[in-house]
Amino acid sequence: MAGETVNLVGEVMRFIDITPKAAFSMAGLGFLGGMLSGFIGSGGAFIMTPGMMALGVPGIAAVSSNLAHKFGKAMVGARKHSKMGNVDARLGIFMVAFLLIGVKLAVFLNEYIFNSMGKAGSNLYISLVFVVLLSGLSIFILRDIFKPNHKNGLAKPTGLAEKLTKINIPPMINFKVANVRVSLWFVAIIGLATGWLAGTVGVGGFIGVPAMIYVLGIPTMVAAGTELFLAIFSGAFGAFNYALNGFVDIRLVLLLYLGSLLGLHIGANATKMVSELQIKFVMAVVIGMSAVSRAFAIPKYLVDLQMANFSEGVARVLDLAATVTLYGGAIIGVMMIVRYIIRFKQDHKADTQCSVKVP
Amino acid sequence: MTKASKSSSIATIIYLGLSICAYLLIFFNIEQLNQFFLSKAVIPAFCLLGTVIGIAFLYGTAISHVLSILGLESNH
Repeated sequence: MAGETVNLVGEVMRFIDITPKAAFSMAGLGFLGGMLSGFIGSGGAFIMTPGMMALGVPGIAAVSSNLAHKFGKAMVGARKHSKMGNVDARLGIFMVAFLLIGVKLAVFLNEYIFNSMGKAGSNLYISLVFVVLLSGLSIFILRDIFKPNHKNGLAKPTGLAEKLTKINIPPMINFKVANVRVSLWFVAIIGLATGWLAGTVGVGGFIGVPAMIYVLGIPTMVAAGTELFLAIFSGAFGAFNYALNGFVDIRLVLLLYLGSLLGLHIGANATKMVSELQIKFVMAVVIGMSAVSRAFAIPKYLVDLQMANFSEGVARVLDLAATVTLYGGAIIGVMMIVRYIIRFKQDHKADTQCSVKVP
Repeated sequence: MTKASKSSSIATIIYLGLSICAYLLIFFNIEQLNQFFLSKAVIPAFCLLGTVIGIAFLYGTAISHVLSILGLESNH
């Protein structure tokens, strides 16, 4: 409701009526998000949070339910990840302290905006963060894809990381597994930013991993492993704080799981059949479309808040465009994955036939 | 059917059955459960997260078993 001061905390049950159609859509969204998440290797909240908002769930309930969803998955997978040996525990512990402050700040801000500006204000804030984050990320990935002399894997960090390791602002800390020595202040800033993003939109790793690689100069595998370690804390702390205020809808979490855990395995299997460039291409398309979708949704929230004067018809068309772009992007991403799998299977079959014919 | 595949099938059926039971139990009692979960206190918040982990474990293991029977194993 337009800019109205509401206090709907704890009344999440009234946010969305779970009809069979809504339940099916939610599970389907979980499947799309899970498949893309397994394929890309991220949490999938970048598609599931906007998707839930497009289905009528307030942004804050979508973010909190997604955090709980991510936390459950992270907890179950934690044992496997700890065996990977790619976690710099020291870096993780230092970052966790600031990460939790960032999450707490984000939860406070989200709740404050929701309570003072209502559902539209909260949706506007979350959508704006999504547009900035996802469009920046999509451009970054596209630049990486079309970079001349592109090599597989992320480039060796140079420039900024090298300069920052030379800046001597005490206390300087040595991280053995990551093999870097950096100022605690840079670790603190990255921890705070990652936590704030995780608590605001449910996606923290998108900024945490590149920042660790390019700013701190940490090797890619260690950055990814440490981020997984951090995701457990950001997910747990964020979900717990939102749950304390009654924003986590367990029905949404369970319906997402129904599709996401199935999609996750299929997406992860597909990564064995494609090149890293193809993964990045799918990533850029889906993330870019998700950013465009949130940009289309903003005018409607502005109209709801009486901050802009679009006609009702224009706002409705843009809102429809937001939904079409989001689901279109996710479906295109999934179709690209399926196409890559089919092509791989066909090539594999042709290779097998050739090797049978040639003795 | 080998002994190993037989025990894997039994585990799949058990996990699938348990996850179906858990889902039905939760959705048929959602009104009462949400009254508890949404009461804005520490214990309900912990219980909610515990339920989420439990479901993720049961259903995730069931799906993982089903897919491994179909030859689609992954590290997730």
